[in-house]
Amino acid sequence: MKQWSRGAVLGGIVALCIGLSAQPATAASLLKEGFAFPVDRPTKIAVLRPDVSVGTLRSAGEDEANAEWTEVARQNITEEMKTQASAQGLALDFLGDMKGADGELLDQYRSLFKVVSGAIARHGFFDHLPTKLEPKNPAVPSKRWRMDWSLGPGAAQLRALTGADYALLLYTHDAYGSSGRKAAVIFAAMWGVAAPFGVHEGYAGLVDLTSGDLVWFNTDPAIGGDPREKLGAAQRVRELMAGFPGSKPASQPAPSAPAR
Amino acid sequence: MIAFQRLACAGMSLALLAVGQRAGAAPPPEPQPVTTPIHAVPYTPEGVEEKGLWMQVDEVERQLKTSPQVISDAALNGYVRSVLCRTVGEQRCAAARLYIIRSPEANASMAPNGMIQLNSGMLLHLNSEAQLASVLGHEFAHYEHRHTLLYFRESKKKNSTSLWLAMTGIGLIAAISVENGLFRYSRDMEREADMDGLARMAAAGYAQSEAAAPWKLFRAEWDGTAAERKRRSQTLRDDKVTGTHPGMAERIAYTEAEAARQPPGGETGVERYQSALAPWLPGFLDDQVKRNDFGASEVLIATLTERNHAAWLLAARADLYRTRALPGDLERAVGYYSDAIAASSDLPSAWRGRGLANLKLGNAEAGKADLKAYLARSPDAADRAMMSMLAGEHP
Repeated sequence: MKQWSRGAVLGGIVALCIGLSAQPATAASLLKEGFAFPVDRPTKIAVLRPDVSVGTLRSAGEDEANAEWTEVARQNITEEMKTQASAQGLALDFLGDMKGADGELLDQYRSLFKVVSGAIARHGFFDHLPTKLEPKNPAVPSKRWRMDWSLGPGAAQLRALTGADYALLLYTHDAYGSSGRKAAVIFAAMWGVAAPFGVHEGYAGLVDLTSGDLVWFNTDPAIGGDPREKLGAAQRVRELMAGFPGSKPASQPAPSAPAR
Repeated sequence: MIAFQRLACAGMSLALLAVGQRAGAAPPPEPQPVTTPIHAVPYTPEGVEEKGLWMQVDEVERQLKTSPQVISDAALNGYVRSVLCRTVGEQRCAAARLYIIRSPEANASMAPNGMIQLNSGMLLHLNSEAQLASVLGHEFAHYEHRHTLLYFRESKKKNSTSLWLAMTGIGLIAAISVENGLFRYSRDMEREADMDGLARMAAAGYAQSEAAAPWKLFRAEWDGTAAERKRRSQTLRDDKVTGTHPGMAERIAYTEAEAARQPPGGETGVERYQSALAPWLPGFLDDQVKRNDFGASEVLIATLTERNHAAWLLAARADLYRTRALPGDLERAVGYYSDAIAASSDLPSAWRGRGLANLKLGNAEAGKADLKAYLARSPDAADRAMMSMLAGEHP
């Protein structure tokens, strides 16, 4: 018993040192009930500057950004998004930086979008809010939660600003484990501490710029594809965009997905 | 260990002032500070680590550019920039991009890519151009010594060492001292930036004797907060093993020792500073009053009043008492507002405050009359709807 408790304490210390992240359960992407793109007119989607960062995870969990990898990943992901969107008949408009009041408005909504995305990533996938529980339905006996988040009707200002019907935000973050990290993770396992070798997470969300409502959202805390390479970026975008409105139900991982 | 984790993840920018919160054991004798090389300015980032750090803060800066918290006023930015350029040299200052942030926290920071953030709360606490020069000189030193990069490297090294020590079990005690070494490293860099800032301000002709005054004011405010909240003052636990910055007492001591060696005749620039900041100080002080830190705000207002018997300071003190609203405070607030109104005909907010205080005291008619006077004096009041309702103008 004494032996065990000492081990547990040390394990806890090692866990704190090495840096743990909770691993939420994976689930299919969320689509607002009944949502579909209008078919009577072309759909224009404004893409807010994608939040992309790629780096190295050092042994004690320091996340070291790599500017070169990030630049390549940003280009690959941007090209891949355009390719996959046009295959679906959607027009993407990648917004550049804006100045003055327009830049302020865009930045405010991008920040709000990020905060709301954090809430959905947590409460839509990890734990559920009782306030979003659907009433019992004898036709669908399983528990269901509403996809019910909004940036508010003020988001219509972005519609006026960009001329787009929807806004898309995409985030991916990778930190590849250094050799020191890999060794540390293996040693930590001896203390009973499970720590990730690296970080590969991302989310994507779509906002209706008329109502401000989030109509689609997807996240994956352990996503596949190496965005530094063209094929990997294709897989990354495919996985992030799985379940995008109007797309085929493509939640199966691509056959080329490497085992992790 | 929590602190250790936080440090491992942070390291984006080095703040001038860090308000520590952990109590620690008696500090070991400080070794000689590290001296790190100065790099030619401007420079471009080199290597994977530095390019990565720059990329991260470039993203932060991209958003800061459109942040409504940034004060874009050309006159104020021009003035602060002119002091920076005089302090560090015309050519070097071109490498720095200055952002004045509307925030009551008395702080400033320098990011590795040359982005200086200077909070309005810091400007509120300074009294002279020489003091501003010492703050800007300190921050610029972080840039030209590449302190963020050095700290990031040191943290990777030390965190890795202490992780492996912890995993051996028996090495845990040694791991803690390795970790404390990282805090010592941070304090060394801050000390270096302090000394560099002092040297730069002297070379630019400013009086170093000015530089310790803000530190003393911070200490007095900490004591004020502690007395009001019936707590131990932070001045008593300021010098810690886990401090990212040297203790204030130490900073005051070496700053004053430097100043004593400077030949007399240095410039303070009090008038220039005061006239550049005059339009801003009432608003900055209002931000401070709204922090709900009565003790510190009272010390600050008393200090500002010693320098300048302005009517807006009376109104600010009145606001402080009105918002605390302990027994007797509202009566005192009404007194201060009345003094402010007597001293200046151009303070609509004093009428507003006296009106609200009178309403709370039950002097309904006097309160409504004051609020009507406020609305008459400020036709563009943002709170017109609410104040006219309180004044009884709407049924």
